[in-house]
Amino acid sequence: MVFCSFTFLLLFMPLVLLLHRALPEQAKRPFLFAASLLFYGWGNPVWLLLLIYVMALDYAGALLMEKPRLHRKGVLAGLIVLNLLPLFYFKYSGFFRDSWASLTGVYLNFTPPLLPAGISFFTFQGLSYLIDVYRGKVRVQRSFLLFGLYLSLFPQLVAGPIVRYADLEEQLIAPPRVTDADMRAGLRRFLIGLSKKVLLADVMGQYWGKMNGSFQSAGALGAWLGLMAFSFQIFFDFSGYSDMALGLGKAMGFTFCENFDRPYRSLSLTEFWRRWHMSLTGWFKEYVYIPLGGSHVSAWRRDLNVMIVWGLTGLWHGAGWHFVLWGLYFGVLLILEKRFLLGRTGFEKLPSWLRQALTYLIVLLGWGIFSGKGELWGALIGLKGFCTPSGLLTTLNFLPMLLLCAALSFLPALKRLPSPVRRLATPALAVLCLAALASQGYAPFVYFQF
Amino acid sequence: MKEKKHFLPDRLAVYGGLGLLLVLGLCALLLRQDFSAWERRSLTGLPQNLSLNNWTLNEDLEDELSDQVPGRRYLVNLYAEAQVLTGRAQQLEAWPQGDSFLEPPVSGSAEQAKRRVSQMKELAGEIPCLFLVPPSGGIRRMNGMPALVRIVYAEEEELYEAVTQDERFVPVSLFFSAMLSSEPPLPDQLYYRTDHHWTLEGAYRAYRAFCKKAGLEPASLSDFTLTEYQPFLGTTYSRSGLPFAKADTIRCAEPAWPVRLSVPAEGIETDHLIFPEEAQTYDGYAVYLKGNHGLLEIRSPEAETGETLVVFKDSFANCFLPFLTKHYARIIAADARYMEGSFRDVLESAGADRILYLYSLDSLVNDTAITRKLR
Repeated sequence: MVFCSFTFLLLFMPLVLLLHRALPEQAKRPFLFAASLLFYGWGNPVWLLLLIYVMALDYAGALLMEKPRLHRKGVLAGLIVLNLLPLFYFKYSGFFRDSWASLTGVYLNFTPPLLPAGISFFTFQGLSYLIDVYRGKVRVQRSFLLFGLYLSLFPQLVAGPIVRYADLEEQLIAPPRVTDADMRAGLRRFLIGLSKKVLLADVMGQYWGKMNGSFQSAGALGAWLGLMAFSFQIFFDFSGYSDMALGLGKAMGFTFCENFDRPYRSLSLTEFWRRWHMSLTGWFKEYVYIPLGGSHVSAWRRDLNVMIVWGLTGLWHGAGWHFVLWGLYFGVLLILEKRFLLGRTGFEKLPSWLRQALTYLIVLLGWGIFSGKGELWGALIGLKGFCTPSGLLTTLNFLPMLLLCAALSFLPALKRLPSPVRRLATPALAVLCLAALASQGYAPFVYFQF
Repeated sequence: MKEKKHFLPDRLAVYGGLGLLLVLGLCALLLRQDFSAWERRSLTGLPQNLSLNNWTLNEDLEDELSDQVPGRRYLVNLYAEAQVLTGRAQQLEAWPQGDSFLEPPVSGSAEQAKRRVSQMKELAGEIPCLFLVPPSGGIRRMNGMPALVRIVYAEEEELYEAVTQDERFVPVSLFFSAMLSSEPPLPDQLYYRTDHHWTLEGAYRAYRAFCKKAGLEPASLSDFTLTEYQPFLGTTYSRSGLPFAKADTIRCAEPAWPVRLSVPAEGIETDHLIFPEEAQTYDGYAVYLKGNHGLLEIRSPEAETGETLVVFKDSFANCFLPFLTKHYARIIAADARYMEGSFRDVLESAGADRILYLYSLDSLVNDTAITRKLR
């Protein structure tokens, strides 16, 4: 089920939130667990088996690590492999088949399966739990219900944030009391996220779709503005989803970690990655970079660690070499930035608008790699001409929304809207979102493919 | 800590909001409709025949809810208005232009269309054939458009000229020029404001041009019984999603001489070509010939010639065919989208003396049904 579908908005969400509020405390967690399984199985009930497999594996694996006679490191390694196997099969087997064929000329004749929603997210959550249990950072959860709820909690199940068990443990064991004000604040955050997705990201996606559908028509102008639209689409799509997840969590008494912090206002790449998909960056830092030695190693080893982390980050985002290249692109640039720019007077003294623009430009080109559109690069440097009349008409059509997205991304947030605007904003956004969905249906979230 | 003051108390806002959403959802499930007249389409029903091997509950229920959500029309209207207000008028399925709603400019491959025309000529063989291709209404209204929109329609005009160069095409310049000095002046509305079709006046001018090309003496409009029906809100208005429009009036020309329309596949057998009762339905344009049919036959015993004319057509022909009854004793009209068999089957069974291909530019360039029927 998708947050911006009518099934969720008109049936699932109101029913679950109202029932959750009405039920006695002891019934809330079993109810949420059942609702989360329904939420996940709605798209394809067979995928529930996969989710339950990961749940059972990690639940039992953590208990196993408590056994004194077993080799804990070996158990952990085995569990990691067993967790990653489904991920490899569902997400990377097709990629492996194609890469193998390119490398050896031997084509392995099998059809890769459909990618189950959220597999990258819940697999990483399960791994973080196991590693934290191994490190002794968290206690083993003996209740299957509570562990299952941690892994399957529907607001964050399919597209994050990647919540670590340590951050949710207390809330699972003793859920905080939810007030009407919490629910209201949560629903408002949900609505903001829905608006980002439906009113901004999807519109930017339409423009980018038209431009990359024919770079001949788009020309250089359409390619650059289309790529900017793609950058806004990804941002509003994913941060919108995170807002919805956090809002729903709050409405049910859960506090998840923030995932975005106005990343396009960053003054350096290092800062950008502290503000973009923070839960994933944190995960790789905690469970890959630090175990590899982190910063407490020689400079060349540290750079190698950075490249490994970013190669894996790219691969996490998708089964394609352009994703790996995208990750390595950032790996190289982050190393260069750390070595030659950060802390240097010349760089630090640049006006902040210029640093922000440079950072955005590098991120933007990164999204170009991420898009996997080979023709884009020729169009960006003008090989496809400047723009055709129909491309220009489309661009002018989308320009107001493009400017709005740019303003919301680059400018400081408004401190506080005037009171009448604030009062009208909530119902107006809600009606507009319903209107957009009734009119055009919903587009899948970009991050669902990860 | 100072508490925030809200216009509505928290409890009312939360339960009122969630309750409203739930009511909308339940209404969408329980108060379902089968057909949407303003969109001219059937609405999706509840999911059926689900199985684990073909699990489509998610998509099916979503389609159902999206189609059946209460107030859907107003929501669609609102979003279309929002699109126009934010500069995206040309992203609607039909473009608002003044008080009209235009089809977006036709685009496609001129070469492919020329190949199709060659196939049509091959099919005709020795039988004399003509082509009549109405351009879209947008080309007629280019003068009042913003410069860039005009340029985009000019691309359609170029396509039109590239496709219609063959000598068997009735020249477009004759269609709409003010050549009818002997006729009473006609309104300059050659296309409907709210529909993509030409009006009676547009069709009549095309008929005059056709007669000139075919060497026929055109009938006068006064030879027909003229009737009017209103209000008419057509397809481009529906597709735009916008709420407000200045409605059109449909004018019809019924031959004053005996005619017989038969559509065997649908059991239609009448002695008139205009169906006033259709004017009040969702598809007012069906007032001509009772809408589109795969294959129809019109007999006109008092026609000037005893010839059989086969017309391969789209819906533009519906208001045009009555004029031809003056000249041809038998008219067979085939619409590729709805007919069985191939064009060749039609020609062989009809015993055609002449052929007319009457297609809008969009159909001629892009309608794959025509390609299939030409095989």
